[in-house]
Amino acid sequence: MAYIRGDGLRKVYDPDGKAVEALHNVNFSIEKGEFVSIIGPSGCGKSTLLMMCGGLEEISDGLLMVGGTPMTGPRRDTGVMFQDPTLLPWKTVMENVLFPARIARTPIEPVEHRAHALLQSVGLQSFEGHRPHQLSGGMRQRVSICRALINDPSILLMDEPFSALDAITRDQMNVLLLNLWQQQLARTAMFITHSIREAVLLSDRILVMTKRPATIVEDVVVPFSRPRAPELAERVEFNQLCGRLRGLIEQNHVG
Amino acid sequence: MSAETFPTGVGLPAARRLGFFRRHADGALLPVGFIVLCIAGAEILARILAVPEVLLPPPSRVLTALALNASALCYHGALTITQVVAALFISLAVGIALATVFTLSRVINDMFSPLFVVLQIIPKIALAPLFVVWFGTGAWSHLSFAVCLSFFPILTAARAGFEETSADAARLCSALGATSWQTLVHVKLPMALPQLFVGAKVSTTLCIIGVVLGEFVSARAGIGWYIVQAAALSQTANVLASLVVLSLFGLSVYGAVSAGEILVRRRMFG
Repeated sequence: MAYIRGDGLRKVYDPDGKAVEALHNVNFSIEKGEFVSIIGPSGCGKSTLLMMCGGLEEISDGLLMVGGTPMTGPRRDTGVMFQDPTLLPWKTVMENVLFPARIARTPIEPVEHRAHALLQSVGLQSFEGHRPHQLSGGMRQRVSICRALINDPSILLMDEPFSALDAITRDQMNVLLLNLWQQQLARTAMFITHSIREAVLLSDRILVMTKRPATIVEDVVVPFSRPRAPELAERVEFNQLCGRLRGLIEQNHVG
Repeated sequence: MSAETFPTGVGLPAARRLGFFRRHADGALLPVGFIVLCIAGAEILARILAVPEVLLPPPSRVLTALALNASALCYHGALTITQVVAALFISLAVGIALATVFTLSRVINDMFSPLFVVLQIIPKIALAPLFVVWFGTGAWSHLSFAVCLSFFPILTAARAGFEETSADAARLCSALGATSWQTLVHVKLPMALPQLFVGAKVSTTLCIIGVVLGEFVSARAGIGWYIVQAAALSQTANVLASLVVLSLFGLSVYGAVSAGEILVRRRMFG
């Protein structure tokens, strides 16, 4: 059975009496442990869909089931990464990573060990006492990954987490996320991105969305076996798949 | 990953501190120089025009009065400024508490917040005698009057600060399932701190006005009481001397608040 499942999801914004339909009849399902990317043109409602899955956006119509129960609000077993790292500037790196645990009022000590390990795995072990303004953009987003993973969530939602980074840092972050993912397989992830290559490298499956009112038009399986290495991006099959996806997006964008 | 650079905030601290002092010394030079010039001008004018001392004593006379009454002035000044500081802390507590209630409850906000704006339009200085009726002639009446006069800028600043919380941070909190109380304590209150200091600076001046005015109306000690006594005896030099003391004490409170603001801003935003 699907772990996350959307049936006829619809989202209507009503800012000034004029209803705008952002999502129209979105159907999808994600299995437990799958890494699924959603790509599509800018402003098509990808983020809206992701925020629905995080319980941060109301569902106008349709049914969204997560872990066998209908979605009603934010879940404690979900970690979210936003486009902006959203670190609290007066807290240290360590305190920022521990923030979800403080909110959940769980005992801090065992979580602290996990925080040390997570920061180590993203190469920030010597920056625990630093504050966000002392870090580079890529480092801040790495702290944000650690924060999303601190409560050991079963679902990880990522809303274009690397889109504000420069190309080189972005490539590094992709490799980092790939490795983190492959180390602990049981997690389910939804990943929003504009970058087709990023999606292909990281995902098991890619959902392609159309422009507004958005719906999912293609469900593309990424056939490459895991564990994957970043060198995968140089293979012909990889580039062929990227080309196919680009074609799908353009076709739906114009049409 | 290790190739990434990050700005080091520790480079040449001594040189930076020197620059800090020089910048602030330059900033102080102009106003201080201007004041000295004004005092000198007043002294010269008072002597040339032979203005009666009751109307406008020359600065040298004020200085003499300061020296002669130093202990009395300090006693009354300290009494007043203690009340000012107390009033400031009470105003902070009242302003933040009200802003918290308004932020947590939409209904209470909609019901009361227009009322507070209306209350601000009433000239509260006219209410000073009422506070004597309600709280007697002692410190309580001065304190309550000063708080009534000065909590509003803090309330406004706190509300602005709470609302200023970035949409991203608010979304993070709701994603984590934080209660509105947790969001307030962990995110909104720290984020409102810089704004709160702006409000506290305005409040400091209002607290001074409030306490001194309260002492004008009824008191047995304090710099306001001292001014009224001196004026009644036509000791204009003493009135001006107490103004000097009051200004110095007030400046030090204001300076402490400003220093706190700088510290907090640096602590929060590097």
